[in-house]
This record gives sequence, structure tokens and C-alpha cells, in this order.
Amino acid sequence: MPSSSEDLQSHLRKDYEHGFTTDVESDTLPPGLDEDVIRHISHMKHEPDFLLEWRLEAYRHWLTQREPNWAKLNIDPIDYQAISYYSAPKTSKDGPKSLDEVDPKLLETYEKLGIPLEERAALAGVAVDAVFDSVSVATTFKDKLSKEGIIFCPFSEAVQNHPELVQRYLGSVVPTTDNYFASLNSAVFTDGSFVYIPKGVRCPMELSTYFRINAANTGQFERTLIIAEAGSYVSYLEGCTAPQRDENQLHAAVVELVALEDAEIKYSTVQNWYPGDENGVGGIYNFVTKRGDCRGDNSKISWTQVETGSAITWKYPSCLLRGDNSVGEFHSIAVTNHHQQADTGTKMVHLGKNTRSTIVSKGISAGQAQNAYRGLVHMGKNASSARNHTRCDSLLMGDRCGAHTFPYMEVKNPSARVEHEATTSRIGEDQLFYCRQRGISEEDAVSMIVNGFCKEVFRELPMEFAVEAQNLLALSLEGSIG
Amino acid sequence: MNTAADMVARYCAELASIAPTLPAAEVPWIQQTRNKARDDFARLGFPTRLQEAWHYTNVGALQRRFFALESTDFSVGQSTIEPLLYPGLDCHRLVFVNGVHAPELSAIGALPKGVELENLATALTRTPEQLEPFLGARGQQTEHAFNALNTALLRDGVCLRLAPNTRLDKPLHLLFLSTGEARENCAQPRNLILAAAGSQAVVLESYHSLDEAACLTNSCSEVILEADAKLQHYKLQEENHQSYHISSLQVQQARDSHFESHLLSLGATLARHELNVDLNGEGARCDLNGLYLGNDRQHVDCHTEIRHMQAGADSRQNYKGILDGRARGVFNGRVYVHPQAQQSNAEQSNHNLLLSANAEADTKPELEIYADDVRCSHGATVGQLDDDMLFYLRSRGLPEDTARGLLILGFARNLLEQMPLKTISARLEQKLIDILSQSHGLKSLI
Repeated sequence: MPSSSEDLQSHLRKDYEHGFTTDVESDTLPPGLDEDVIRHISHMKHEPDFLLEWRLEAYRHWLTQREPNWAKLNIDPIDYQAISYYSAPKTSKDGPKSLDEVDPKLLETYEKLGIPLEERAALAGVAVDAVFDSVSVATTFKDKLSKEGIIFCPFSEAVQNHPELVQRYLGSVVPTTDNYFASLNSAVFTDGSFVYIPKGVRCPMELSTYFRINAANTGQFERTLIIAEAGSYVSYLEGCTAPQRDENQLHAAVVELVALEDAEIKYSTVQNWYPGDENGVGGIYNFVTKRGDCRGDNSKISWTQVETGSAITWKYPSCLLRGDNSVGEFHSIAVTNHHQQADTGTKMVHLGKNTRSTIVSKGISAGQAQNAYRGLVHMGKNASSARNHTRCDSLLMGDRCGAHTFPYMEVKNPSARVEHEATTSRIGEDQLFYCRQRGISEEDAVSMIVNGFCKEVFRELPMEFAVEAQNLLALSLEGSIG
Repeated sequence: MNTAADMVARYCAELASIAPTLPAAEVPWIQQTRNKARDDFARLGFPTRLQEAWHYTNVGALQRRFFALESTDFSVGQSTIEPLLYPGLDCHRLVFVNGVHAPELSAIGALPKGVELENLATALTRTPEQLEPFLGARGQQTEHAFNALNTALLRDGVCLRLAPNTRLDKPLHLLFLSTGEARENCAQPRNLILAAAGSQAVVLESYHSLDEAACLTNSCSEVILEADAKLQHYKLQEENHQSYHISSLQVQQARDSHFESHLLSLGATLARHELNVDLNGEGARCDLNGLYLGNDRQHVDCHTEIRHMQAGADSRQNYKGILDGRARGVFNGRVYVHPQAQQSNAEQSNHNLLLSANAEADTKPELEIYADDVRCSHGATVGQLDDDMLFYLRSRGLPEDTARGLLILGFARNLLEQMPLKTISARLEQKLIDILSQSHGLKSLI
């Protein structure tokens, strides 16, 4: 379709809308990584000894590991010694107690992104724990949450105030030895979010964190830990946008979720890191280890993700279904355009009886992008009557992109049932024709079909996020007709 | 205890020592091909589980023993092979004992004009120059250890050549027999089928053990189908439960050619079936069906790779596994669609039945797609027999094991039904019933 290919080109050429850098003085360590850097990070953050030891152990293990190369990704070599591992915005010594004390420049940044903290907090009832580079600067709604006994704070604060919880759960889902990037993160993480929901408490609001990469050449190593005690419920939102720059930036986060008996954690992500320009220059490397542990019986963890950004995504949010009757869910939309590469999927490890998991993955590939689903469903010997259903669909837009599916299924229990189905296709000419003859413009028709393709996943997102996600999708793909 | 490297060195030493006795040893390109393959094998060693293609299959047990390569005379009588033949199947027959042609057992018979059928050793000596483009070092897959081992020997097998628009009048039955007597032997058949434009053939390969010795079969076959050529390929593997069976079949298909494959894997402690098809022309089509049964400690691994290299080709795969005892079944199917291969259709399905608490199924259906106007789908399931169906049959008064046997047979039967040659499918079905009758009371019903 020659007429539409011009549209396609013009839309695909669109500049990244959120590209700007706020000029804030950063207290940044010189680039490089050795044990002293780790000691320095730990010292700056006044961490207890156990944490320093833990970091050093991770670092020593990291030195013995090699970068994983099994994914279908083409990664420029990363110079880990060229990254600065600590950068903190300069704030008054005690840190801000309320929004008024927050550096106005930071607030300005959020405003440019269209997420004014106070407004959002007031209107949407969302508590935002904003991570600006590596140190949390503003936390809202803390009072309301603390009345319920909920702890929602920057990770470094949790280390000071609740070291016993941190010591007990940190690394219990993603051990320091787990993989190359997880070990690196364990050694050098600077901050992140910590959530603790006490027994039987239903968190009264959606918890939300906005991550944002700022200072140039600073890798971001967040660490998120969410603990849901027996019978509790929490819905956690994570979303991100990043300023434009040419240098590839490494982002290696670790997210650990622990759900005890009857608890439920819902973790939603909208990821829109800077994807690089149309020639594939720049963009974020998003190498994230996310894992949830359904430790108690009848617990549930569900991951929902909308991935539109990053030059390279390497991400497999997983569920360890240890408790009997526990449930794991994974709903994903991954959109790649230009030269973006994504290798993403999930792992469902069924260990307990009657465990159930559902995987719905929608991959959309445009331009010269490569989009791969890679997933594991493992049914252990004791996972009797466990169930899994996997559905992964790929949509190709343009003749230079690729869509790949690599599912692994390992079944060691005869009463377990595993089903997998996948399709790959482009937008059907008949579908388009049908819409066009009803007077719908080609562009609207495509957007409608793509939205329909992704509907199953959008439905899983909390309301505010669903709107943002649909906008993002439209922005990334408007006018692309295969 | 030998290390893997020692074992590789031992194979290489034996290959080097028997090299002068191999067919056409004096022909330079054949010599080079063998030497290069031997170097490749020495460099690669046996595959390990760290290699993605061997992730679920451990060849550790295989590489700890040495399978003798040199051929000695085995006296196999006509009466021995009688039960392995297909009654009512009028065919050309070639018999190989430990990978070496046994002319006294073979019955090639009269061939239609334009069809050349002989064993590879004869072809290599008679017309080496004609085989160079197919067996020469250039066309060989060099990163595959077992292929390299096979090529390093390049001794015998079948060589079938069809001139344009000819048709092999009767099916070709290839009988591969393994026998150990005093030692563990290695059979390395090398088969070549060249079908020129518009030609047609039906080929049945069957693999059997004549005794309880643990043998290694490492077979390597190449099929080249030119435009409009058609090949129906059947393979039955029922070697004894001590043996190892590694096989790879490479198919090149030109425009409008059709390749049809039917596999039934019953035997061997470790069986690996690799089937790679390149669809190089518009309208090329392949249908791959496979049924694998595992019991005791058997390990069956079916590996397929279909590459859609040109527009408008179709591929269809349907593999089913039935796993009992402590058996492990592996399916790894890959469909690759080249950026040029628009209007490709690819379907892939793998269904597994787990019959015991210790059986395991691992399945990995992959799609790798670089063209947008395609229709590709795959599906995979692993489960046990449906309780409702069992209940239904039980409520009709069938004993439980008969009901189970019947359902298993039903699961397998639709693959057998797709075999166009009824003399073969009937025989294979009977084999299946015999196996199921041992554990389930089917005899009374069928």
C-alpha cells in the first residue's frame, strides 16, 4: 500500500516526545566498579553490615559470571567500568518531608511529563514514590497508608527503619547468584521501592512509582521488594519515561514479590524508556529480573506489562508457584518499532498441587524491529492437577521486522495439563477492507484492529494505566500498516 | 573411565586407521571430505546439554562407550529378515547390516528406465564425480558432531537417483539391521536420494536389532527434490532398548515439490530424529508426521527445522508422543521464515500423552519469522487421558485397562491414518496394538 507507507514513514519518524534533560546538580561517583565503589555506596546510604556483606558477595559472584548471550538480541558490548554507579540529586541534609520541600526543578520534570505529583495524588488517589535517578525524593500518602500498617517507602529508608524485614526477604526470590544482571544489581543497587502489606490488609489504593533516568551515563539499578502477608492484597503500578540522549544506558533492575497464604499481588508496568532514534542509535538497555514467589497456599501473583520503549528489552517476569492452589498470571503487550529489540516472556514454575497459570502475550513488530516471546512452563513432579494455558500472538507491520516465539514446556507430572498456542500474522486485508467500507479511515481502522488485538491485556490494567497504555500504543504505531 | 575427549580421540584414531580400506579411498575429494569431517568431529566433540539443540537430550551414556567402526562379516540368513518384511508389499529391497550393504539379502529387482538404485559404496566407486556436488565437503553441515562422524566414515548406504519425470514403480524398502555378537557396533548409513524434476518415489526405512547388543546407529540422509518431484518417506525405528539411534535427514525442496514424512519411533534407549527441510521454491510443500512411544527409561527426541526460503511454500507438522514408565519425550520444532518468503503457511502441532507419574514431556515449538504476509501457527499440549472419556467407556462396561488402551490407540491412530500406503500403516498399527496389549487388555477387542 504505497499511500499508507508514506503515513507510516512520517509517523514512524516521529521524535521521542519526552526527550529533555533536567539540569540538576548530581552527587555522582566517578565511573568504574570495584569493591571500594560498593563500600562507598553502602557507606553513603548508612547501610547495616549485613547488607554490605551481601552486596560484596554478589559482586564476587558477578565477577565469575559471563553475560548471557542466549537471547535473540544483538547487544553492543557494555563497558561496565564506564558506568557511574551512584548518582544522587542534591537535597538538604535531612531530605524533604513534604512536596513543598522537594526541589522545584524535579517537580517541573514531572510536570513536563504530564504527571504532576500533587494533582495525580489528589485526583487519582495514587501514592507516588518517585524515583529520580537513584534516590527517592518524594513520597506521598504515607500517612494514610501507615494507618493501615502498610509500609510503602524508598528501599533505602526501609533498610534504615525495617532492617529485619529487608534482611529476611531480600534475595529470597532472586538470589544474588541468579543471573549476570541480577548479581550486578545486587552489588550496586542504589534505591527502589519497598512495600509491606500486613496480614489481612487490603491496600486501599493503587501504589505507584515513576522511574526516570536522568543524569547522563548513570546506570539505574533499582531494587523493588514487595511482601504481601497472609490474606493481604496490593496492586502496584510502575511506569517510566526517559529523556533523549545518544549513549546507551544500562538499566538492570530486580523486582522481588513475595505472596504468603491467600495473598494477592498485582504488578502492572508501563515501560516507555527511550527506544533510540530511527537509526537505532542510543536507547535504553532494559535488562530486568522480575520474579514473584507464591510462597503460601492459595496465593496469586499477576504480572501485566505494556512494553513500548527501550532499545533492547530482556525481561522475563516469572512466578514460582510453590503454594498449593496458587495462581500465576502474565499478560503482556510488547511493541517494537525502528531498530528496537525485545526478548521477553515469562516463566511459570509449578511446584505445588493444583497450581494454575495463564499466559497471554501479544507482540507487535514494526519497522526493522525484532520481537521475541520466550517462555518456560515447568510442571514439577508434585504439581498434580496443575494447569497452564498459554497464548501468544504476534502481529507484523512491515516487511522488514521479525516476530519469534520460543516456548519451553517441561512436564513431569501426568495429571498436569499444559496447552500452548501461538499465531503470527499481519493485519488482514479483509479486516481492513471491512472497516474501510464502513467509512472508517485506514488509520482508525488499524488502530482499532491493534487495540482489539491487545484488548485482553488492556483489560488487566488498572484504569489510569489503561488510558496511558493505549495512548502509548497509538503513539508508537499510528499509521503503520503492514 | 574414559573422558569424552579420550573417546573422541579414539574414534578419530580408528577412523584414520580404517580410512584406506573405505570405498573409493583413492578419490581425492572423497579423501578430503572424510578428513575434513574427521577434523570437525575432533574439534566439536560430542554435543553437551549446554548446546541449545541438545538441551533436553544428554548423550553422556552414549559417549562413555566405544562403538566399533570397522566392519566384519556377519552371517545373517534370509530367514532372519523374513519377519521384518511387509507381507503384501511388493517392493525393491536393500538390506544393510551394521551400515554395510548385504547384497545376498537385498532384492533390487528390475528398475524402470531412468531410475538408478544402488548402494552408496558402489556408486562412490562407479561414479564418484556425479556425487561430489552432494557429498563433497562444501555442502556438509560442519557444526553437527554426529553428521561429522558419519561423514568421516562415508562408507555405505543407499543411493537413489531418479531421472526427470520417472517414477519408482514400487516402494523402496531399506532395512537397517544392527547386530553385536561379541561387541558393540556402530552403524553409520549414509543415504542419498536425488529426485529430478517431476519424478516420484516411495521410500520406507526400517531399523531393527537382531540381538540384544547395544549398538549405535548414526544415520545421515540427504534428499534433494527438484521441481514437481514427490517423495513419500516412512521411517520405522524399533531397535532394542539398549541401543542408541541418532539420525538426521536433510531435505532440499524446489518449486512445487512435495515431501511427506511419516515417523514411528518405538525402540532404542536414546532415539534422536532430526529432520530439516528447506523449502527453496514457490509452491513447495512438506507434511511431517511423527509418532513416538517411550517406556521404561527410553528417551525420544524429535527435532525438526523447516526453513521457508522462498515465497508461497507450505509446511505442516504433526507430532505426537505417548510416554509411559520413566520415559522422556522431547519435541523441538522450529519454523524459520526468510524475509523473502511472503505468503508462507506453516502449521505445527505437538501433543503428548503422559501415562505414568515418572514420565516426562518437554516440548519447544519455535517460530522465527521475518516476513509479514504469513500465516504461521503452532500448538502444543501435554496431558493425560481424559477422565470423562475413560468414565464413558467404563460406563459401557469396558475394564479400565482396555478403556485406556483404546483411548491411547485413538490418540495415535489419526497419524497412522494419514499414511497413504495402507500396507504399511496396517502393519504399523498392528505393531502399536501389540505394544499396547502388553500393558493394556486390547487383544479381546481388536
